[in-house]
Amino acid sequence: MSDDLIRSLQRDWQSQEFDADQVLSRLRRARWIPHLVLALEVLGCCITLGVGIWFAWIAGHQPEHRLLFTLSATVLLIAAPVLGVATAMARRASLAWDDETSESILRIGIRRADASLRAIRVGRWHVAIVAAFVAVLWTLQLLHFIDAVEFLLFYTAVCLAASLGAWTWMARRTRTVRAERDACIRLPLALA
Amino acid sequence: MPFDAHEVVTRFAPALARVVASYERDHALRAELLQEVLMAIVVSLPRLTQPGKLKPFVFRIAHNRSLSHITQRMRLRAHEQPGNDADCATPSHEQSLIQAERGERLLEAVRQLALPYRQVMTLILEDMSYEEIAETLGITIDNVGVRVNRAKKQLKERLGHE
Repeated sequence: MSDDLIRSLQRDWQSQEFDADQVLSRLRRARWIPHLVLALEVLGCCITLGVGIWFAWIAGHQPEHRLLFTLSATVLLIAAPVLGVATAMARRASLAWDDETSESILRIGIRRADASLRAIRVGRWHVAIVAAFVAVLWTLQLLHFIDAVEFLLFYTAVCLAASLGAWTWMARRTRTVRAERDACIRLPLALA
Repeated sequence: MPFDAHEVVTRFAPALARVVASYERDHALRAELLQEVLMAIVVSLPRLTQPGKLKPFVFRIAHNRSLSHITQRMRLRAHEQPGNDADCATPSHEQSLIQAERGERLLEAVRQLALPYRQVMTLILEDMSYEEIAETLGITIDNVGVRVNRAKKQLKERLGHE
């Protein structure tokens, strides 16, 4: 076994052809995606704030719906900035890929998986809070503090659909994150 | 010293494609992974201050990003042994990317190496020195030597070289 073997292998290895133009043009397009995602998040936050302000205006001008719209406006006006900031902070920070080693990448992978599992648990609490809020609104309706059955039916349907969707997604995500975590635990054995 | 990101990714794209191919066999996933590697290089490049370290810098990102990719892919193939994570696609996907039969055989043999040997061998095959490989993988030069010798031995057996 000599360096001739390596030189021969290098020739074979480097003879593999590759069309760089296709990937590089995709790369140019992909560079816009993070900016687009951020813009959509800001837009979503602004829409939520706008609806909250609209509800507050309705609460101020329609005494018969004051309690319902005051509660809804409060939740939206508090929730929009809080969820906006939480989303930005919860998004996985971009790793310093140039500053890590294979072992540290796997250790980070385990920590990120644990963080994702914690975030999913928080997400389940969010769903529970939405459900509790809907229950409070129905209680107020039954006690005749508010009178908005049609709106509540619509609102409950929207919350129910969103909660079921979120719960299903979280259950699926939990399975994949646990599997990623297992992989990060198994791979260091191969690197040892 | 600032680097031109486009120039860097254009220069290293073929070599990085080969490194990525040693981790991921599926053609579509490989293209996706390569794009992620190139994106990570573009984003990280402003942090590189020493021009002489460009090659280890670029390949370190490629290996780290690829390693992260296979931990995500292994969830779909939990039964597999760590290190054999590239085995998931049909040979036809292979043939669409790699034209040369010898190159293809070598790539297949490299893929079958255990992860530590695969990492050093892909870098050796890209003409990198032991010092550069140690810098890239964050291991000692002695460790590089040990891994290279073992990888060469295994490759020789698999390829039937004298």
